[in-house]
Amino acid sequence: MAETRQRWRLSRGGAIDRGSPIRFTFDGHAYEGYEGDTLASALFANDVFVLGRSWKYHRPRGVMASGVAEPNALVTLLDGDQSVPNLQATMVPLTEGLVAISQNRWPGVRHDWLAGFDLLSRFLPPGFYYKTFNWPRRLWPLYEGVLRRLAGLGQAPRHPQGSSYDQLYAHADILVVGAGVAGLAAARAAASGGARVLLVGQSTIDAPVSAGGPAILKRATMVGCYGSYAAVYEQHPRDDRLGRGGRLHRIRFGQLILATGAIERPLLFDNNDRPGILLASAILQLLQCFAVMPGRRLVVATNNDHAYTTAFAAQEAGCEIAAIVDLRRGGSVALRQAAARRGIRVVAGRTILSAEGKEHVRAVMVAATEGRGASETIACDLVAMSGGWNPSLQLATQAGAILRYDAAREAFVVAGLPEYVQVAGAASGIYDAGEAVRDAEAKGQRAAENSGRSPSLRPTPATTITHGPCNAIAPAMVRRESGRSQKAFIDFQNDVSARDLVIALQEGYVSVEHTKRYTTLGMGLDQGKTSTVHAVQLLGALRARSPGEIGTPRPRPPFVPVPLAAYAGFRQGALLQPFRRTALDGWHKARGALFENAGLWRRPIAYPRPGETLPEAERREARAVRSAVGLFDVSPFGKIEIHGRDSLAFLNRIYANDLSKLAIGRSVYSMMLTEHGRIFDDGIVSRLGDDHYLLSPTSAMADRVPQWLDLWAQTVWPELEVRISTVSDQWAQVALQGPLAREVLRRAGTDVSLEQADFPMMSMRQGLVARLPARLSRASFTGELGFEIAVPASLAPSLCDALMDAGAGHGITPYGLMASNILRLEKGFLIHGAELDGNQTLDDVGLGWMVRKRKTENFIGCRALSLPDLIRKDRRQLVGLLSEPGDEALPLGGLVSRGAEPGPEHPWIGRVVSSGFSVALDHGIALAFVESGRALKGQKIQIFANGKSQVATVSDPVFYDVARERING
Amino acid sequence: MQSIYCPYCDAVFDEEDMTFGSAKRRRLLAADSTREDVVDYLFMDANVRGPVEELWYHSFGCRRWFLVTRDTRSNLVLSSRSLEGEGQDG
Repeated sequence: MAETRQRWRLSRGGAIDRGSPIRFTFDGHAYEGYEGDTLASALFANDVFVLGRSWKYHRPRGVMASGVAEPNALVTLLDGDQSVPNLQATMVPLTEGLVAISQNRWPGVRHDWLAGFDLLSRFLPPGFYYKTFNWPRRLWPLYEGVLRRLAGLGQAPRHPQGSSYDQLYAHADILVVGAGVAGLAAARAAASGGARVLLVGQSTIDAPVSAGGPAILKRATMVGCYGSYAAVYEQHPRDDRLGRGGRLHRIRFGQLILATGAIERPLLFDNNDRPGILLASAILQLLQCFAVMPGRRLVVATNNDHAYTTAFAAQEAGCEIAAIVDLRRGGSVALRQAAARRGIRVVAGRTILSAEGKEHVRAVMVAATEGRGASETIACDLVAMSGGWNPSLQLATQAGAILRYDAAREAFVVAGLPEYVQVAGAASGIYDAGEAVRDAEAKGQRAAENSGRSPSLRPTPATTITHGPCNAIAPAMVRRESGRSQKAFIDFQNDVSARDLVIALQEGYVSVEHTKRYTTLGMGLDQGKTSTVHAVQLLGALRARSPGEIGTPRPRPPFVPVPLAAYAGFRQGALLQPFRRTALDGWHKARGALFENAGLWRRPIAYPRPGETLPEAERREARAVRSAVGLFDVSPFGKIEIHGRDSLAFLNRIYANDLSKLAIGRSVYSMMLTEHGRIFDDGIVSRLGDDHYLLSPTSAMADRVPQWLDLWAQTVWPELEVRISTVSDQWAQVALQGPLAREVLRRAGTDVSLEQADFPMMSMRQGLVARLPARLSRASFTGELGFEIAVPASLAPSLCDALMDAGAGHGITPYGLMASNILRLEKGFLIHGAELDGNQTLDDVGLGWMVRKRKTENFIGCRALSLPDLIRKDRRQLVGLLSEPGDEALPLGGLVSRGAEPGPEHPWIGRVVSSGFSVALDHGIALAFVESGRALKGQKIQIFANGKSQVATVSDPVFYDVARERING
Repeated sequence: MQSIYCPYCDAVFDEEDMTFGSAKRRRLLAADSTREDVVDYLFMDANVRGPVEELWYHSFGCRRWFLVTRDTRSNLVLSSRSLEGEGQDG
């Protein structure tokens, strides 16, 4: 029988559907609520007040606030082995079969073995972890593991989440956030001129949408503002029992109106966190929206008029009002008379000193706000407190609002905004509903005008639809002792009490941002929604400053908890990161390649045979290139064609080396410098015709080089006739490398003469290979005789099949990035990301000779080459390193020293940037940058890494075929 | 997230289609330019607080560089124009 089980449910009223009962469980107990309930309202109806334990002291906690403001009632939803933690019970819509559990309690929320922490709270001041558990230092990891188990919020899910979260993008001329009276009025006014208006609100109720009116996103909360786009999280109802399937919207807007309302503050008194002590507005919402009156005897404590509404409504719902404790001596005469007519006792000039009861409030002790008058204990089972209202400006702050402290409202209000942002209604400090509507309409019209529209709205007649102004307000902390106690909580979610702030200040944390980090005030999921103003007021009082001088800590996104899976969206598993495949991806796969992502490219690293380890495959492939012939996919190299009358003039300004003498059909290894004289890209330039060149920048720079060329061609030398076309994706390219390369290519069939005299190293020909149209170049990144063959991308698999067939009798071997890396390392060839990181000069890598000698022709970076830093004698120079015979390969990233371990007295003089085990030398080799390293050739140095050291001998960076006989063969 | 008008495409695109270049207009330093000139050009950026004209590149589009005026205080894009001077507000 639902009626009897829902002890505190009223028989009438509310926006719930009593005809649609919903069953759910909390901590294993079955309950029943109604369609339209939140988890919080349904638990209240069922007399469940303790919803969790606080994160530091393990105090029992229940719902204190409503909606997004709730700091305490965080729950975990379960469905089989899936779970979603840290959801606010006030924001979880009740659904059939919902399974929720409380957090941070063991073994149960009613009998928490760690509740003893509360008794120790005197000895757990802010920062106590670091003060107490810092000795001996090496045990901190152990302490940390235990502490993390004792303190905290929900547990992260143990199993991968289903990919049911989606991400959407939207554009709006005007975005209105908040669907209260102000938001609705602003959206209506904003749309009246025809602008595209989107209204985002937490409402679950369908609002009538008229043609041309605003579009509405329901169950949605703006969670962050990033420049001119808003992140909005939309709860997706009924998708599954965990409330998963939410959608993260990125909404680009021209104008933003924030009608985000105001959030009520608690009052400060001892044990103000006991279950059954709620904000006055939260009790009013329970009554009016959910028809729940969760008590028989209510005490209302307030410093403003607004909470009287809660007292009157509760009385009408059958609740006894024990007293209205009004902190003010003055206050509204009309309201006091209204209370008197209802037979409600008002005690003015008094405040609550403390609450009694542990898992539920039993009574409050009331005393005068000033002096030492007698105190009185008032029995009750429910307390409604109101410490005034904070305009909800977290999102406005993110959107660029500047705040000031308004003493009349005892709150921070907007003092300045970017011109495209407006704040309307209660968020702008207007608490009268009628005034808020008129304010919002005016701001909606202004947004429409700012969007270039002519709004045509008849304003709502000037009526006052007030809840009762709350402008007459008394300070919430009048009694010194009640404002500074260990049990008077300011930040409920983070267990920060008034005393913690006093201690932080005593210890020298003056800045509000430092106080936040030391005490955890305003951190976590809550970001200080109910706590910031109290904290700032208290810090101001302690330092004899105004709250405005203290300032507020900056609230961070997200505004409400958003599952991390929603931020991930579809970017999971194979979709985590996009990658590019070459035209040969399937060809590699069919030959058993292992892949790794190199930059954006998915590239084969090796083709291990059955039973072969990866290092074994690497060595086999490298040996095949040195002794026979290998095939390697070099498609990721950039390919940029340059046409036009001024091509040569342009390239000679771009490259540091002289291209004037480059003949048609020849290629040259070339260097682009930055304006600072550092190496930007090393690549090959080939001349295909009179005014026709082909650039091959390195794979890592293939996307940046065209942009760099466009920048100079378009913005600096528009008078040059030069056309830049990127054809990187149109051509696939393979390297055929090894002493038998020429023989295999001949067997595959080509109309290009391959003889040394006709086709020398560093030249390019166009012709047919295996009857496919191809560009052939004599180029080598291995040090062996070699060709690189480019064909239209779609023909690449045919080319490779033909080459494999032609080389079958010669031991042709496909090789991957690992073998390629050891082959180039043996030759001292440079790689972006290893030797080159944008800081090296040509001289650093031993290529200073490449710079053209004729100084009449200027090029990018030329002038910088004579800057003092670039000609320092102690610059780090590229050298080779040989490990001691029998030693393993030198550690990548190892620090180079002349002897002693690098430290303050012995500065390190270099770093290992590439390392491997040479196949040709059967020896560990490495490349390193070492201060004045070329002068150290033949000397022994020490390499330090991971607490070990190794001896190495400095050598030339070229380890193999120094005479270049093989490459030119 | 900005929406930026490309004067060459005559349409508005999301910032993701664009690449920010710099507020500095490039020039080739003369081989005989003074140390002061070199240091000033290479290292001394104006870092303007307020409206500043910047080079942006329509990288996933027409691949043209153009000029965007952006207010560094509000991060608002105020106008775009082509290198030849044609453009429009916002």
